[in-house]
Amino acid sequence: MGKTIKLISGDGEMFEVEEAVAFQSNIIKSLADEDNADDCIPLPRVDSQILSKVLEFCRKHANSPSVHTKFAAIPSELCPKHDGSAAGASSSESSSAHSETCRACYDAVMKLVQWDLEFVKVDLDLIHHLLKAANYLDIEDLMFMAVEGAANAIRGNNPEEIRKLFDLENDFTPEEEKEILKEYSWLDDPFEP
Amino acid sequence: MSSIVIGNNTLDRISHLPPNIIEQILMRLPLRDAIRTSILSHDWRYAWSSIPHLAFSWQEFPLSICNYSQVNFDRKLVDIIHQVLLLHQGPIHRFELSIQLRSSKDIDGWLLFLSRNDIREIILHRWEGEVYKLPSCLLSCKGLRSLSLHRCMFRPVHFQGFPRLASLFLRSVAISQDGLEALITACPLLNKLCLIDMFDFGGLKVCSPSLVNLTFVGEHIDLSFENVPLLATLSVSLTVKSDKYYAAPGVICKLFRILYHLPSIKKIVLGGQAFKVWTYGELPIQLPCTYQLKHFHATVNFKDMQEMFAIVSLCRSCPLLVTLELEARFVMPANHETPVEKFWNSQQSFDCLFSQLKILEITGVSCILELPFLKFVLANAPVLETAYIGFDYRLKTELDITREMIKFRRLSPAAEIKILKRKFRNASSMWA
Repeated sequence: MGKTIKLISGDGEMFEVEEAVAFQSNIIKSLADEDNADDCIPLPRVDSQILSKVLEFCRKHANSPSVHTKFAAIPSELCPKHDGSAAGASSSESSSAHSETCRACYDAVMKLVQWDLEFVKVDLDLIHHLLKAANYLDIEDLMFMAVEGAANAIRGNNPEEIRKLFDLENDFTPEEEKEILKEYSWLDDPFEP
Repeated sequence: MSSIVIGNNTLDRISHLPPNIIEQILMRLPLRDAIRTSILSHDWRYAWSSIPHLAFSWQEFPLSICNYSQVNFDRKLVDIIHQVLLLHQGPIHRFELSIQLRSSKDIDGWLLFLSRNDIREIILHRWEGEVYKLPSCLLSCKGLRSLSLHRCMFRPVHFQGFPRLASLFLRSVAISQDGLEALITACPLLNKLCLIDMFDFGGLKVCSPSLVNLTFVGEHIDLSFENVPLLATLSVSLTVKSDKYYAAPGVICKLFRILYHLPSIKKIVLGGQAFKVWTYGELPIQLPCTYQLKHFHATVNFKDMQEMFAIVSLCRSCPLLVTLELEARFVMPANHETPVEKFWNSQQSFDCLFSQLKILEITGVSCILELPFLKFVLANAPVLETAYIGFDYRLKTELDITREMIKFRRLSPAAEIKILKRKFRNASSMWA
């Protein structure tokens, strides 16, 4: 087991995880770099329930490339079958060439994407907290998926449904509503598929 | 359960997220869904209006919405786009217009508006109507990082280039050869260039110190390179109209001449007739240099001796080759042993040949001509991991051929032969 990092959640629970898992978070990574005393990093703004969900995500992504923000470009070093075959730096060109030809990598990426989509099929409370946590901890892939989860709830739904899902209060007066509907009269025209 | 960041334990699950997160959510939505959020609540009324990406695509605004009436469609869409741009606040970094808009007189005005709002990426695909002549204000979009045009006309005159353009995609764009060459050279950060179905010229000399990725699809033209020190990926797919092709005697074939000018090349993909046309002529007997090529994909004719010689020459010059993928062009099966079979059976192996080859793929296998090649590779590739074989759908003797293949001697103990299922995995490859 490699070097580990200890994280303390807002409600005092301690999580010990491998560096590769914790360093998905750019914030944790920079805090760990500065603070050499003991590898104990407090995260007062994230409670244990959310943190454990976040770490579940990070664990899954620890040894995979950044599939979402870098569009499945797999540096050859991370491919279980073809490590180090890209001589020198893994530029995005050689890595995308690698992923195109390496079916093992392609399949692995597809599986990860499927897992991610299932991961965000949760209630919006959790999505809300994941969004905040990903923002606070600066975890790119988690942010990407959490945004996807929130967008899924909005996409294709009419305003009433969206309000119900997100528990939003409609604070428009009837006149204001009429004004908006007139402004965007084309939104719900025969445009509806 | 709530993290301490939420001040009041309001149940509203979305409005109190930081604005940058809300912007990301809105950017993930189709434009109409994003604009529809303006009716949710006061907080949301104008949230959509500051997202820096605007896309009017045919998927979201198809012609069918106006019952296929082009006139009504044009009028309606122009009004909508005018309104959206008017209500928008802040910079617009990405603008996409790929709808069936026939009239183009309003596009000039929109491009002018964008040029004043820090536009960085423009996608302008014209499906209908006459080819759209790009206005000069486009040239003043100095912050442009990415430009994608389909069926436009581009006549840059005295143009200094786009100082930050990294990606250029042109499809059926009317531009002169001089104009295009000058444009390519004048963009100091140009990284990726894609030219599809260009028709205005018979030759193109690519000169770009920054170019890394080049794709060219279309009719055969005289493509040449000068000063492309960073080009790592080259994808060329050519269709050839006439069967006659003239190769000057004593001149090395195009493929090797081009390789000479590509010091950083890592991957080459040749589709259509590109390999055939580029291997016309002399093949180098003395190999002048070895190349860093790692991945080579080509559509080849296994019955053609010239092409087979070219494959050998190429493999001899590229000892670092990791992936070799050949798609066979269909030929009628032969009943007797042809020169090609004798050719592979008599090929000598030598140092470094296939020394790094890990993946071999042969698709479109339709007769026994491809087998001697497979046998040759299997017998000479010390670290081969997988040989993927895809059969042509017309083949009736798959089982017999498979039985033959399995018997071939394998130099690499780990080598596996995998038969590909005929399934459309993605647009560029029909093998899974």
